[in-house]
Amino acid sequence: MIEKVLEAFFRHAVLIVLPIIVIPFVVVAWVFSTPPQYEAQAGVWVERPAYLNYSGDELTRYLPPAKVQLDRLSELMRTRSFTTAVVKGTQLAEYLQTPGGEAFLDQTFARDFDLFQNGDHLLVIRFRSEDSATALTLVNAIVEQFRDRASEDRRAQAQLAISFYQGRLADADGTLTTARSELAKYLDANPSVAAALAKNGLDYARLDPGFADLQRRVEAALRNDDNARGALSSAQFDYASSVQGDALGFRVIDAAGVSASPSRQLKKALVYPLAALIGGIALSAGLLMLFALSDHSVRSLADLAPDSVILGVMPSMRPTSLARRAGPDVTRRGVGFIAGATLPLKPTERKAS
Amino acid sequence: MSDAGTPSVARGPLAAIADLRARSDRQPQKRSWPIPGADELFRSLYTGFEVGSGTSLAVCSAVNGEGKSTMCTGLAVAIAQDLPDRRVVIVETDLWRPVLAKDFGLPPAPGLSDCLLDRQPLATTLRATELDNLSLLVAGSMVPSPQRLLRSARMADVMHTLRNTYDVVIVDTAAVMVHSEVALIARMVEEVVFVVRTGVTPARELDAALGRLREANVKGIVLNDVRSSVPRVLRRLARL
Repeated sequence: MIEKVLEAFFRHAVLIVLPIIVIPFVVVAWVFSTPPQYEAQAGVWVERPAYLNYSGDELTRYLPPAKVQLDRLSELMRTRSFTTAVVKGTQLAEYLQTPGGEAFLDQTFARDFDLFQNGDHLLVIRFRSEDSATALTLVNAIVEQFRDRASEDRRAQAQLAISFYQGRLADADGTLTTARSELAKYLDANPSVAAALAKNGLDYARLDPGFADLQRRVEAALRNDDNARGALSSAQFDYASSVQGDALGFRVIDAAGVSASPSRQLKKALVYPLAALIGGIALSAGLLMLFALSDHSVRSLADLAPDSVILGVMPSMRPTSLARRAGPDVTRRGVGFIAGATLPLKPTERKAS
Repeated sequence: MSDAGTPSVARGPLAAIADLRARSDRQPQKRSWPIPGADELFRSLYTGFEVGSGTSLAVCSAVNGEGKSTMCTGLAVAIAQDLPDRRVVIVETDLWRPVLAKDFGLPPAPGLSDCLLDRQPLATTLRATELDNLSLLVAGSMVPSPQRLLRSARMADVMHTLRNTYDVVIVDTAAVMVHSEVALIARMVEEVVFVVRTGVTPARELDAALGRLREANVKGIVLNDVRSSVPRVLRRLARL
């Protein structure tokens, strides 16, 4: 097999080596033909939103805040409403007017926008453009839009929680009022129980089964009411703290800045040619294996049946001096030359003859 | 016409060739092998055969372009050169792809096909060469159904006559896997030499072709055009 592979390689050397040279060359040429870009970058410190109850969300419970926010922003960047809001008020807004422009913006964001987390809380937002102002404006716009969206979401969810707990509190209040009223009616209808209660205290009065049952209902309603009140207070506190604590939950640590001079992406300048080289090598290896495996011809004595009688082995007899000026039958003519076979003449010989 | 006034054709093929040679205005010139070492290669090859009086062998191959004609020419030239007392003839039976006439700068007709069609007697179809004891029987005129001619009784007669006339008859055949008539021709000769060109003959085709020649006396295989693209140093390192 090694022999076949080596033969295939040296027989088709040019074709096999070509992808290794051409593909990286084309990629490098493409990389260096594209203009260098300015790079704007902002660092944002993010916290997990305080009002959200993560205890039921097993997937995100142990994720760092930066990862949670990175996923959110990545998903938002794939929505048209978010990108449209980002682009409005920037140099790219004119593209929103045309259908083709939207596709262009999608491509631009997919190609030039980068978002990654650097630690548990730091989120880095990056945008590249041939124009430094555009790069800077877009990074700022993305940060602003994301902050607005996050604040809106927080407020909406906190308000939802408050209204929910307010409803629960109202229910608990109603239940408590009803239970108290029923207890009062029972005491009015049973003066002996009321007297026992006044004389001997609550424990003695509990000896009456009807009173004891109503008293338990009142106590339960009271506990519910207290719980609802506490939850409402907690939600209101969370809302207030989340609204007031915007700066803590989403804080721009490194304000957007743009590189002083345009540069080429490291990914483009280094990774792409390297990937092209690896791709070229893979393609060459594939070609080599294809040539080696598809060659079913006899190439040596080893390829003949073991019981074959070998009369002789004739090496290649192509006469190099003649081959340049003759066709494929030059060997046959050369072999028959002694007997009168004709050989192609050099121009000088032809003139003489 | 010969000196004795008898037509040379009537006196036999060899006399006709002698007449042709005598009438030829070509000056015999000493030629040498233009491919260094080729003579020794063919010499070592024919040494393996018993070249005696009445030797006939066919050179076959599985597919076209494996070097049958080269092998025939080389063997014939080497034998004719080394054994001047042996009369050698090359018979080109590949009527589909004739090459000998063109190689030797001869008119394509008359040749074997003309002889088989009884257009020409055998003697007039034989051509002389620069070597006194080597003759050629080229394919001849193109005919619409060469397979019928090669399968005819006339073909067997021609072969019989040649074997009686020449010491060594070397038959250049068509490709076995292309034309089934080759198996018939292979049975008309004593021995068959099978040419396998490296990098050209598919192993499967080779097996099939040898299967078709089962009834012929296949002497053995000549591995032709053996070359390696792998540099010698690497071959040595890889122990190839």
